[in-house]
Amino acid sequence: MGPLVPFEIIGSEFNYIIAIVLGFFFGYILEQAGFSSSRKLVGVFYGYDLVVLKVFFTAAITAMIGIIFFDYFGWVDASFLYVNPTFLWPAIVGGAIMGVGFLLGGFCPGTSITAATIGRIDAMVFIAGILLGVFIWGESYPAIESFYKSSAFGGIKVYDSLGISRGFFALLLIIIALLAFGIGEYIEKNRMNKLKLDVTGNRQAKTGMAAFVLVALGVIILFIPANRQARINEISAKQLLTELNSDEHYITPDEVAFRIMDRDDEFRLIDVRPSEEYREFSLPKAVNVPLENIANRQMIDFLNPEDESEEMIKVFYSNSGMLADKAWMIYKRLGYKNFYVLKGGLNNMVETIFHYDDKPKPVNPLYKEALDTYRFRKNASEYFRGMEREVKTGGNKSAPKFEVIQVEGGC
Amino acid sequence: MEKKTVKHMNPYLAGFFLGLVLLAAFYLSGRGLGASGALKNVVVSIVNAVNPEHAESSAFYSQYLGGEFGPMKSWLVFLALGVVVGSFFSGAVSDRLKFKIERGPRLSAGGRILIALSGGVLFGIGSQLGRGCTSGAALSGMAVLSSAGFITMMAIFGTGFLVAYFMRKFWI
Repeated sequence: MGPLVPFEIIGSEFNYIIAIVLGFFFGYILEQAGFSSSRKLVGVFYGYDLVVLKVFFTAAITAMIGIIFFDYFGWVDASFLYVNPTFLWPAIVGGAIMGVGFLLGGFCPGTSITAATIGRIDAMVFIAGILLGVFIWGESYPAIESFYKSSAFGGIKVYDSLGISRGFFALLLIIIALLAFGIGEYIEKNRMNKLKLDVTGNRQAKTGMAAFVLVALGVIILFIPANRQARINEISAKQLLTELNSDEHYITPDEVAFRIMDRDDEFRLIDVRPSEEYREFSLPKAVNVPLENIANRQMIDFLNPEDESEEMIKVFYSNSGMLADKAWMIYKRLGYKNFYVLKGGLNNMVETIFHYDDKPKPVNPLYKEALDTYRFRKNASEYFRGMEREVKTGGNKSAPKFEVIQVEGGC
Repeated sequence: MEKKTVKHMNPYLAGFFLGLVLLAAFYLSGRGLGASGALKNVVVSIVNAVNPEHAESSAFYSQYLGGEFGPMKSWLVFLALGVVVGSFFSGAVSDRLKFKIERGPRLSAGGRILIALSGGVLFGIGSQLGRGCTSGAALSGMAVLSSAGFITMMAIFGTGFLVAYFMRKFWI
């Protein structure tokens, strides 16, 4: 499943080769489309050449449809694709500055590289201007940093912002694009006649077939669930609440102690506290997965290996059990099985087991059960004291450090 | 109506192919295409070469200095190198390799250079503030349906249409 490089299906050393190959086609297509000509580019603002509108819109829609279908077929995990974060006002003001820059310069950065390559001197000067502009930005960064980081909304999606479904938005965008193309062709013809210009390249008849295919794809997208998790065995909130209240997901300190001492192979401990606390004190063989990483895709895969036994018991624990409950709820909601929570957390474990030898022996021998418990806990307490070092360091079994996949953004 | 140079590609077809390249970028590397990032790395490298102390102490430059190979060993720089090769190849096969200053009929060559430079400066500043340019923020953002992509796209082209009238003598 893609993206291939972040998932290490393709080695990251190939990422640069991929970049060059992608760049080659990027540059080739830009140049072939006529984006090396500033007069063709600004034509969109005067109506005599709408090549920018056509190429730009078609490319965005093609990629959008592609990503939606790749995601649907499970070829790519869309949650790992870089979504440029929204900083509302910086985006608007920055875009406005770029808009003026576009009309003055006649290029945007990508097209200027293309044009400079084939010998357009104005494009070379434009690039020099960009370098100068970035330098000015860099020097004045301290003054503008607070605005640059203002009105942050994170990686929000446009359909969420508009309060509509992804499918509906995609269909809407396709229809808007087709209308824009139709109107654009009409305007272009009129303006060209009026201005007696001949800067455009070919203008082939739009095919109703292509439009039909696009709309059909849009309609299909309308019925594709936007959330991949909707397709897996996610349980309902109501069912989750029932299970949470039933307390069946709790496992007692005694059982945990027993399974540790028994060296049970089908038993895993997952410490969901922050790693500083884990390093200070943790249970033997526990892996540390701080709660904020618990929903990380790789962590989910790590904690739910496909070849795992059906009998596996996986226990979340934290100090009081609150964090562990949260972790359990997240995994339960996602539909994963075999997860439990240490009842009362480490506090309870320490109280019931580790410090048990402070407690007096039950005096009445008739309470056999009490006596059994006493003996077990007493033994356990000694056992754990014997391996105090291992308890402290958690046996040094930290969860693998997944580099948080941080796919850096566009320009 | 055609001039001597080879015709341009059908824009819809070009857009379709460009969309496929963009899709491939997301499928392979998990990210979109971009151009201004490479130019930013060039600036960071130059500043770092000229005055390393200044670069280290700057909140802006220092964030791109990490890594043993420096800011030039970045995905976007390699992408830009590819763009150069691809554009040159395209220019060669379509017989468009030629040094010239392209300008509107009412504009002098010097004037064209002046507005190209100022346009570049604005794009340099704007692409930093807007976290990407037409390709990195707007196009790639639209492909993943990010709000930022659509906002940036509308801001760039909306402003373009607003100011186009005042700049008509540069182009038509």
